[in-house]
Amino acid sequence: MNHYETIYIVNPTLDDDSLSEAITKFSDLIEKLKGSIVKVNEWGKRKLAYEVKRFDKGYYVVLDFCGLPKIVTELERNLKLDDRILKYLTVKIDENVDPKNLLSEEQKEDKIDESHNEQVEEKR
Amino acid sequence: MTYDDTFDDKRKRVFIKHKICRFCADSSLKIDYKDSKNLAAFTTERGKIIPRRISGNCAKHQRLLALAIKRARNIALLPFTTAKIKTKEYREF
Repeated sequence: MNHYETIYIVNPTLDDDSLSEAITKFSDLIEKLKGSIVKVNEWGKRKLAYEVKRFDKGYYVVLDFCGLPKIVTELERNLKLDDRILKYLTVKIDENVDPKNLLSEEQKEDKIDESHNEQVEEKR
Repeated sequence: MTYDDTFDDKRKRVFIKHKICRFCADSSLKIDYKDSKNLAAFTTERGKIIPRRISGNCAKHQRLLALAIKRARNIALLPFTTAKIKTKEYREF
C-alpha cells in the first residue's frame, strides 16, 4: 500500500450541509475502495493565489490516505466529475507503508497536541 | 561617444548572496508544498522562483524547493504570476 495525500478545493459558496456532504462523499469513496484514511484535515476558506473558475476564495480539504494506485485514479475521476470541486492535487508521500502504523502515529500526535493545549489553558 | 561598460556592470551586482544553504544548516526546516508562507520567501514579488546563486541553497534543496513551489502553484497556494494585478495597479495611477 502507498501513502497518498490529496488536496482539493471545494466551492466556497456552498452551505454547511452540502459542504460536509461533499467532503464525506470522498472519504466514503476511499473506504468503499478498501483504502484507509489516515486524516482528513479541513483548512477552511482561504484566498486563492489566482482565480479558479471565477472564484477568488476556496474551501481547502487535505485528505491523507493509504491504498493501492487504482484508488487514486478512481478518486481523481470522481473529483473531476464533481462540479463542487474547483481543483485537486494528489501527491504520493511514501511507498509500501502499513496504514496501522500511520494511524497509531496520528493518534499519538493528536494526544500530544491535546495535552499541549491543556497545558496552555492551565497557564492561562 | 564611448559607453562605460564597467560602471553598468558594478550597478548590476547589488544582490547579497547567502553563502550557506538554510535547509542544510537547520535540519528542522522542512520543505512542504502546503506551507505557502515559507515557500513565498523563495519567490520574487512577481512569483518567480529565486535562483540558487542568490538564495544560496544547495542543489539538492533547490530541487526540492522548486518542486514544492510548482506544486503549491498548481493548487492555487502560490501565484504563477502577478502580472494581472500589477497592470490593475498601473491603471489606477
